[in-house]
Amino acid sequence: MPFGPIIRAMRHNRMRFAFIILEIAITLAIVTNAVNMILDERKKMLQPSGFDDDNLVSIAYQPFAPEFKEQSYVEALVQKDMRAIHSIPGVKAVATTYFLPWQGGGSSGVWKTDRFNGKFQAQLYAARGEIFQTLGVKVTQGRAFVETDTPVDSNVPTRVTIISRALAKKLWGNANPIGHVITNGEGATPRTVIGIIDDFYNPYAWNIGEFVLFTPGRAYDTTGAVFLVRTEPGAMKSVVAQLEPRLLSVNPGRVFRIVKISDLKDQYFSGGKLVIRAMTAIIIILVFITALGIMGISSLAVAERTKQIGTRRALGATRADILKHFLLENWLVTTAGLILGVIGAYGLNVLLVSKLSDVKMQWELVAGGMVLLWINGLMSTVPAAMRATLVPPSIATRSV
Amino acid sequence: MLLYQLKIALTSLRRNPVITSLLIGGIALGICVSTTFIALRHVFEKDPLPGKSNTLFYVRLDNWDPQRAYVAEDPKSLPTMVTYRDMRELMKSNIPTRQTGTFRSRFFVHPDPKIGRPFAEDVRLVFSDFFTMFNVPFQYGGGWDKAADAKPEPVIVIDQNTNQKLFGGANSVGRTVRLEDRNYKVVGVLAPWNPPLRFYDPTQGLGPKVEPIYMPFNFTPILEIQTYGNSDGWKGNDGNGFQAFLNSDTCWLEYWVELPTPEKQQAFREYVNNYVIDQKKHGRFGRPLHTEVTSMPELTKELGVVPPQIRSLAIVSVLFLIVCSLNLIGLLLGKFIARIPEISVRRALGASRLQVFWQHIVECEVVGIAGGLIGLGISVGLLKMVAKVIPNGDVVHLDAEMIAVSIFLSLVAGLLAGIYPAWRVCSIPPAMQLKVQ
Amino acid sequence: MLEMTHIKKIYRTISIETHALEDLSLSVKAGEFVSVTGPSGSGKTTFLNVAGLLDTFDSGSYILDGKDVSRLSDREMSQIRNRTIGFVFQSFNLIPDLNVFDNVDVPLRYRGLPATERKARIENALSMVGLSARVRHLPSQLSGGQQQRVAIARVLAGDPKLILADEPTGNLDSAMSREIMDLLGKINDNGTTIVMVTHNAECSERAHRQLHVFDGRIADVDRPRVVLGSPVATPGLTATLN
Repeated sequence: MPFGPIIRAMRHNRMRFAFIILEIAITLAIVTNAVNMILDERKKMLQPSGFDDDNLVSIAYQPFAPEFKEQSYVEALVQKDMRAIHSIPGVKAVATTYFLPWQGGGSSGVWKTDRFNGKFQAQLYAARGEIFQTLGVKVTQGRAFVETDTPVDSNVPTRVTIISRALAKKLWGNANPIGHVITNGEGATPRTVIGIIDDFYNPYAWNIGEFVLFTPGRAYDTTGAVFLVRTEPGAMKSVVAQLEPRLLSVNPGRVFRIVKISDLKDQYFSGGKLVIRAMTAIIIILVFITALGIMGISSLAVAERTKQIGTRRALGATRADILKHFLLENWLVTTAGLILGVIGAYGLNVLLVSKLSDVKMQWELVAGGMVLLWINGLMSTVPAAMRATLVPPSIATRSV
Repeated sequence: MLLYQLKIALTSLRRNPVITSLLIGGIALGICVSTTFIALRHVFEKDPLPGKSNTLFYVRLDNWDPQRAYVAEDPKSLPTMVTYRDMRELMKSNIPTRQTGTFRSRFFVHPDPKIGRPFAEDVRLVFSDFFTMFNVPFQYGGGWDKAADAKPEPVIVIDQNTNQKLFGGANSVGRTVRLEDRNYKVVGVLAPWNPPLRFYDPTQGLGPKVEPIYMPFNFTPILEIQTYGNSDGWKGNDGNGFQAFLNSDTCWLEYWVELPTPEKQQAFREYVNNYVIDQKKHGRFGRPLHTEVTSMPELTKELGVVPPQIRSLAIVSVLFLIVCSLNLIGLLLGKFIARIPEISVRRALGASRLQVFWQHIVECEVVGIAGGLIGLGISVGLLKMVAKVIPNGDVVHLDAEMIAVSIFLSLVAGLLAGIYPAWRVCSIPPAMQLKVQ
Repeated sequence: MLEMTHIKKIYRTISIETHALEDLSLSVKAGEFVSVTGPSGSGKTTFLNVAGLLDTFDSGSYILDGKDVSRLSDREMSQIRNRTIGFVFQSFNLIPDLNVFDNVDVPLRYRGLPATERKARIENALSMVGLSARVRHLPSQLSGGQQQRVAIARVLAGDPKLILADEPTGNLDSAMSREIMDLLGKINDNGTTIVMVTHNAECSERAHRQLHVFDGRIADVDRPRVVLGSPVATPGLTATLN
């Protein structure tokens, strides 16, 4: 097909084509960046925590009654509380821990190891009770905590730790991590790795979401405690309803806060959900209105050139030739727009990327966006181009 | 002339209601999306204290581990908060016209047993300057005075909700509230106060609301009040007990100073540097000298309090609006070209090129305004939907400034869509068309 | 060259039937220069559309260049228009966005000729109409006569056996008209059959044979067959003859 004459003819309508080219370019830039942001948010959301999120609920208490000032009282009370929670039908496991999945934070520290060069940062949580059964993760190497791992005196630091597989890999590669030692500086008690859990992810600053040390410490003191409870599937509602009354019957001198982990997770991803919904809507509307725009411009082009089409038909153009002519013209416009759009896509990416969300544009996305808009452009031209093929050649003999 | 052109524009728009509604719909679509996300950004990024925020400065010192920066990968990073001992020392300066160290804690409120069970509530520990520095609005009474700071006197300020809960909304100034095992006298009740960001606490990002209760900072060492916010440490405490914690290098306080003039700012920066240099002699501050005295707007930007996605959505939505208006060019071109006979008659009757041009621009702007108003209406609904999804969403609303921006954007959108078609038709010579007709 | 017998063409809308051609028969020999005249609404344009395969007809038969073209597909008709017929229109029908070269090129493109041959043909045709110097001009930059010469060059480049001209001088002044008629005459001298619809008597004179269309029928002006026309047809006929 004749590219040369089509391009030369288009030069005479360059303003009109310039607008549609610009529109397609911006559309490509937006669509690729929007999809990029959606994929990024989805990636974050699909990152499994490794835990039984949907069946986890935490209940924290803060005491106001005077008897809570005694550590020994608290010690005994927490054991009673745990038994009370266990006795609720539908409860699978319970632990006390300051760790709450999907809180988007927690506690962390800086450590050294026997072999790893320099210091490293990782999340750190004390836990007591059936912490891993509660989270729904397995200790796949080494052993789990036992009661004797927790020192009787709460001022004595613990000597063992269970870490995540990702941290073990970072520190010792493929070597067996069991028996290695982690310390936090001069003179501090070394902690020996006694076990490994395969799955752990809790979003945290500094990209340490997969690095964790659990220690068998008390996650409660005279100021309160947090219990993490795992329920049987489907039992969440009835368990939540009974948590507070049960613990109140153990001791009413305190207030409670119940948080479902699924709610924490929803809250953590609320921004991401907004981005996904808004961007999806924008993409759909944008592709749709760009299609409408191309339809409008191409039917205007056909309407304006009825006589010309008739002349071409009179001079021997078949219907297929006319169809090809308009599709080709659109293809050229779309392609020009898309080439400009590739620059726009990367440009907008630079504008949108900040220190905090480092989402690089991927060429596959740009390529995908181009294919989508190519198809979109061709499909949107088809109605007008079909109408053009119906222009009878006898139009050519009609005067003006 | 403008009125006449407006009349022609309205007649012309009425003539083809389908095209007109498509045009208005196109603009409305662009405006509702862009207004929604610009407003969202605006709510969180607008200056919380216009005219004042540039005089409020946040102090940071790099007292971190000599062997490792606060953020290991960024040697320029420094802790986002300060230590208790450094804040105490720096507050001895009289360069700032006002200053406050502050942190958040949690207390039990013991109401009259007739009213209800005790409840835990967020409490912010502040100095008396806090209320003036951050324009805290009062319904009854006010903050406490310097004397109450120094002693400290058992006084508190409560917010409207707490006042409602405890005193049924009456003027409770002078009455007492029991927090844990002490009684405090109410000196002030806040008017409704719901800033989108807890701007005096930049470490918390979006979400948390302002605290319902405020009490004098100097109770901290007396009652051994622990923070309910972040605390960053690298060293641990020398010894046991609360005093050891207060003397440690753990950063857990926000420290704000008011420095109204560049001279004061300069002087205070020097004062802070000299303090750190002096401390170095005592073996603290092992890292290179690095202090920051940052104004509130810069701090908000630097700490990225507003999620980057909100900014991205705003940028994308403006581009979306541009596509919407570009999209209308084809439609307008078709509409105007179909009107060439009419235009050539007007031209022959003496309408100048400029008048024809303006007539069409006016028509586009009528479409722009109509679409803008509809879009604005839709965006009120969209913002309500957005508010449900994000944390602290109830602060999201359209203010007068945003309504003006939205109308301005719709005028620009109308112009963007109309300028080329209007230029095309106004360059039609009058004679040519008459001859053919 | 062209043999039409009992051609009938009716335009139908929902409520009205217009008999555009009523039993039209006509024979044109190869190499002839025939002019067709008739008042407006007489069916001249319909005749031209049917003869040029721009439009179909309802009954009768049409043999063009020895081939029955009565029932052809759109593609076959396009091909015949492209190769066998050349059109010269009253309003030139140049494509305004294309320059002179590209305009002449249009039918050659549809014929799928190689680039070198197209170029040779275009240059040759343009030199024949004396416009070699204007290849890069746009139609809007040319006078009416020049535009019509480009249109004729577009015909010449295709080397058709039959040229159908529709009021070729209708939009031109008399000097330019003469120029165009000379050109057509020359082309006819080289053996190309020309059928020209016109209401210009002077142009009509240049033809070998003059036909008259009236009420969708055709009459040979040299040998009037009044039988075909209705009584009122006679004054019209004489009017054209004057």
